[in-house]
Amino acid sequence: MNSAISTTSVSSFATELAELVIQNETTQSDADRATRDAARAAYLEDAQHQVDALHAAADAMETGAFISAAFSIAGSACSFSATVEKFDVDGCASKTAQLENSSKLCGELAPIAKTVTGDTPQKHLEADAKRFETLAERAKWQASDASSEIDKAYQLGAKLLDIVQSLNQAQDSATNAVIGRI
Amino acid sequence: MLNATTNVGAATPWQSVAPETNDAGSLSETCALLALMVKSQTSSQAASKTDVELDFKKLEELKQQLAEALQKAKEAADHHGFFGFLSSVFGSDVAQIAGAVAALAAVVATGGAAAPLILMAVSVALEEGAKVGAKLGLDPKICMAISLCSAAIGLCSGGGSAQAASTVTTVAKDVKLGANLVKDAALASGSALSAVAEHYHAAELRYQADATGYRAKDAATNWELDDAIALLQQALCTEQRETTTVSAIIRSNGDTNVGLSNRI
Repeated sequence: MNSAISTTSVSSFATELAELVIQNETTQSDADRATRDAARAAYLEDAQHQVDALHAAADAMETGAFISAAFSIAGSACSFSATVEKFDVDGCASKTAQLENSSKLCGELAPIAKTVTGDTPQKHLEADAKRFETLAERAKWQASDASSEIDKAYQLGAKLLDIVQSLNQAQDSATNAVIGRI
Repeated sequence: MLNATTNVGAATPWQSVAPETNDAGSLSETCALLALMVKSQTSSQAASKTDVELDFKKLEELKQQLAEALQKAKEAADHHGFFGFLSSVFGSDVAQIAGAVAALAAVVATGGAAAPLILMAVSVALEEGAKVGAKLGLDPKICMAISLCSAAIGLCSGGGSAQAASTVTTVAKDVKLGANLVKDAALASGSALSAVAEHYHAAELRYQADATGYRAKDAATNWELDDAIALLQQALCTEQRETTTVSAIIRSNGDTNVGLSNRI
């Protein structure tokens, strides 16, 4: 008799239903956790790519500045030599002209070299860094959304367990009451 | 339903706990199950606590690294500013002044004999100006100063002699040479200093990029920390609920047994 009362269909049904719902919630939570972990991994990866791109942009800028400075210094050296040659009594006019031309050429090449080897790659790499930053931000949102879903599932599970617990308690009370009546 | 091996590993193992029997054997089984579940939650709590401690340490390290990167970026920015200023002084100001001096010297040098005559004319003009000023009631001190300037320029002009003209031309040529050389040297120095300034600017950008990376890692570690704290909280709640539920089951079983005994 006790056995028959304790396995009342109401409690059993509720428990089985709760088990099913919680199983479903667990599966959903696992999926959300996988999504969240993937999003976090993507966030870190994109952030690393952003850092790499920013480093490369800084390298490009430095390279451009060095090449430009090399041309400028070479131009100044040519101009210096041309000045000395010009004021030298034994100086050669053609050599002076050649040095002056070289100085002028170097002076014109310096900004071009800076643009080609420094500024342009730097802009491209900075654009890449911005793109990776955007991707990282998106991954961050995805991770945040997945975390919210996990929290919701956990709260739902807790609520269901509360309901099942209440049902069990109600059934126990009913059982005791029936026993009292017998 | 009371299967300890399947329930212990679950997220909420007490969910399928229900009063099935009310004999002494099943009661001890329930207690054993409770012990298992509590043990499981305790290990879960310990693991979560370890995670929290590790994450805290990691966060501290990241914060330190971030602060260092920002400090280095600031220092690099200071160096960039300093060398940029020097580059501007040498490459722009000094070179421009030297260029202007060279141009002026070139004018004097190419002016040749005309230069002393120009100076003489200026000297005479100043002398006359001093006289006129005195007549018009100008301050005698100012008039005296103008006269002195006139005399000085007159001396420099050397009375317009050919020898003086030659000397001025030679000096002007030397000045022009020196000024041109200084200009070229200043431009070269300016370029070199500009390269050094750009090197520090690149270093500043690199440190800022590192700081970005540390911030990202910091965010990820914060998430892990939040997860660990949430897990710890869940483990504590679950343990409490398990204890409550099993206690209720035991009490209910006890009540049932007491009721039955009374009836018998």
